[in-house]
Amino acid sequence: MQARELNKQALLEALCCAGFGGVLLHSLYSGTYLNYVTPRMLPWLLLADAVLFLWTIGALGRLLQPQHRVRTAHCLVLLLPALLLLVPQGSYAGNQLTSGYGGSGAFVRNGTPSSAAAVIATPAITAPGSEMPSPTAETVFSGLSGLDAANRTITISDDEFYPWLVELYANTDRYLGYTITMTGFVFRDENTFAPGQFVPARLAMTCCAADLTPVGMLCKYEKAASLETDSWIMVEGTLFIGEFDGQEEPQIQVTKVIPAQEVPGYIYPY
Amino acid sequence: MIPVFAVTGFLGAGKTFFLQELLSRPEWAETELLVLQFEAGEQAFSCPHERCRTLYFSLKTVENYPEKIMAQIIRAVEERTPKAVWLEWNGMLSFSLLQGLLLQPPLRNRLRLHKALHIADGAAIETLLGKTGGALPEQVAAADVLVLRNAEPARKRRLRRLLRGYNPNAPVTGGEDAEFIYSQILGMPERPLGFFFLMISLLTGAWLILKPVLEILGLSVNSGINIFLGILLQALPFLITGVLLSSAIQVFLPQGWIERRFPKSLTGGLLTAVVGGFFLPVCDCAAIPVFKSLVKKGIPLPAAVTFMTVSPVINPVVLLSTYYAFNGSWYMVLSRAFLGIVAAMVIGLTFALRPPRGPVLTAGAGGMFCACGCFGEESAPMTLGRKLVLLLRHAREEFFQVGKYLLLGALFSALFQALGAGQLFLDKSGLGLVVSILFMMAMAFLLSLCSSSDAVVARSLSGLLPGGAIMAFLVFGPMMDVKNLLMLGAGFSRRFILRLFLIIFSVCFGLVLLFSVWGGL
Repeated sequence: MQARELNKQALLEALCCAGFGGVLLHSLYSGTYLNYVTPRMLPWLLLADAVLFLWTIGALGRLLQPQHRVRTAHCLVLLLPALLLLVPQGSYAGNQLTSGYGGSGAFVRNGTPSSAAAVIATPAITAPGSEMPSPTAETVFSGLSGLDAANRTITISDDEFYPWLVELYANTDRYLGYTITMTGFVFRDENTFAPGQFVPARLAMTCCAADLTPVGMLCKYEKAASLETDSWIMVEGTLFIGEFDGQEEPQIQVTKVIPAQEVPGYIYPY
Repeated sequence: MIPVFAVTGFLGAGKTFFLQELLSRPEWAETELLVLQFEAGEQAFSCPHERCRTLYFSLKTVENYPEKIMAQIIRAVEERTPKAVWLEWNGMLSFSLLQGLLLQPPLRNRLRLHKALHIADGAAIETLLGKTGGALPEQVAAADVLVLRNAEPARKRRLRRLLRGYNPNAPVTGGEDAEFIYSQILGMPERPLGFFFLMISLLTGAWLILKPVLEILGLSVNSGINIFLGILLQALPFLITGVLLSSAIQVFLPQGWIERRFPKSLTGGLLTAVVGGFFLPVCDCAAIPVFKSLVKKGIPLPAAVTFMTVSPVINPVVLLSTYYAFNGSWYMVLSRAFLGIVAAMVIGLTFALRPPRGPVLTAGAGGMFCACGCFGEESAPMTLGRKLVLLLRHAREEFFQVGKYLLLGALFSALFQALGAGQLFLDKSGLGLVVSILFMMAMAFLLSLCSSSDAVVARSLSGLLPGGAIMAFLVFGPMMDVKNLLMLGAGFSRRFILRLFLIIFSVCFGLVLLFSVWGGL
């Protein structure tokens, strides 16, 4: 009879690789990974999961190989993120961001005014719950809802926040004077906004949670000072052409503000 | 259970001498001892007192008649009931063989391997390691205490580093300090699993207590964790890709292949590195393991450094994200790429003009060494299957090695941002060009953003700071930040890392300054 000893390091490694792999897979499946990274990362994370799975098998294969010096601290590399992923996270504080507001044209792929290029089409990326059609120079996006041309109103739904932003930026002239309704959280940049200005913003993620940036349209509202920063509101107002950072862009003259429910989920422009 | 102390080491390292010295001390005079010699050595062990018995086994017996050995040992144990068993293990026999022997049923119930000491001859160990098969590295890796005898003071540090490469945690001693050796070997056996669970409990406790405290202090723990996990989930897949690539280079490229194919001229080498960097479409986290591998496989250091610094700046994903972040500005993309390439080539050049003195890699020279127990594989035929298994194993080892630094870097970055780094960016328009550039380089270093996302952050700051500062952020950040600096620590000497950091910093600063003064940003 071959007597063997359990290899504790192999056991721990197997548990940690499997544990983190499992937690990661679960977050991919349930969509919680989108709180931290963009949908673009999905194939890479699946690759990581596959490798973790292979490593688990490798560790299980070593389970009965005796090992005198056992190291365990390195397993924290996987255990720590796994534990953190399991702990339910609250929502991200909007005004703790490193990135500032870049105007309503931020993320919209235009040529700079001097080069006068047409709007450049970009590959559409489908994220769960938000359609991202590519902007073209003339057409209204097929499928964008909320437009009531007869009454000159646009009701921007949460799912179409970003596509509408793009459309309004690209074809501002067409929608001048329209009444726009949208939901966002109150974002204020004390240094670059005038008093009476704020943005009902949503957070856009380019690469990961470290680069979350507020996007939205600049709004003018006399009672802006009474709005609580980070609170969620529904805004109704009229579209006009204003100026930000030396460039012309669509902005909103607010007529009505109603408190609203928090909208979960980030925007993924790419 | 009788504790077994194993003394391993190559022929002539001085195991018998060491044992003789140690066991002749008065502390062992009253102890019933059993000494087993598995060595065809020059010296036979002679018992220092009557309460001691020696058994000798030749190599042939070990290989062919293990049952005989076990029978003799068990008989001796039952006859005399020793308090401790010391054994001298041959340098050509693998350590796992010893462990397997002691785990066989008759021995398993009476004996337990307590500690292993490895005796290394300072004059010979460098040549021996890697040239005498896999058994010796395995013995070094398995030892609880490393005794480095006969080492010239001038080479001591290098030899220690060599040994640490195989066994990072074991103390290295000269062997004269018996007290120290006793404290190491007679102490309680380490409980690594216990330690691990203790760590977990401490972390959980810290979480439960610290979180409310920090929130009261105004630190948004929530944002911090979001950022931390964001950075990690972004970086980990690329790190895994990087270690897979690096291990593939180690396992599949025959030694000397690169040396034969790589351009001999300096310019040719640097240009190849730039082209290679363009085709590596991953985050800067992946570049570091690949860099380490390339250096190990013989790419000239200047070209490897150029590769490492240029690939996070000019890879397609990064260029694309720069393009989009700056509203389709080709000027920004091309300037970033141009400055990145020039900076990288200049950095590589400095390493050619003044090659670093002393070793650049921390652990031993060449070959497929690692502290992962994958020794003894070189003798077996290397089929594709074996190579793949080796690749995965090597990748895993490297992942854990580099991963802990990635975790630290991400933690630091998240803390920095959660503390409100964004506030630092405000109202800096008053600073001059030079200070802004330095400021942005410092921020790029501390924020440790992924090179595919720093363009967006930079864009949002472009209203507040001069163009030169923004460009410095975009060129310096991918090349060197807290994360990278820490990750380099897993394999390169401190002196090299420091030099690399200083050169990258100065070259980036100088180039960006020149560019913005002359060109126009």
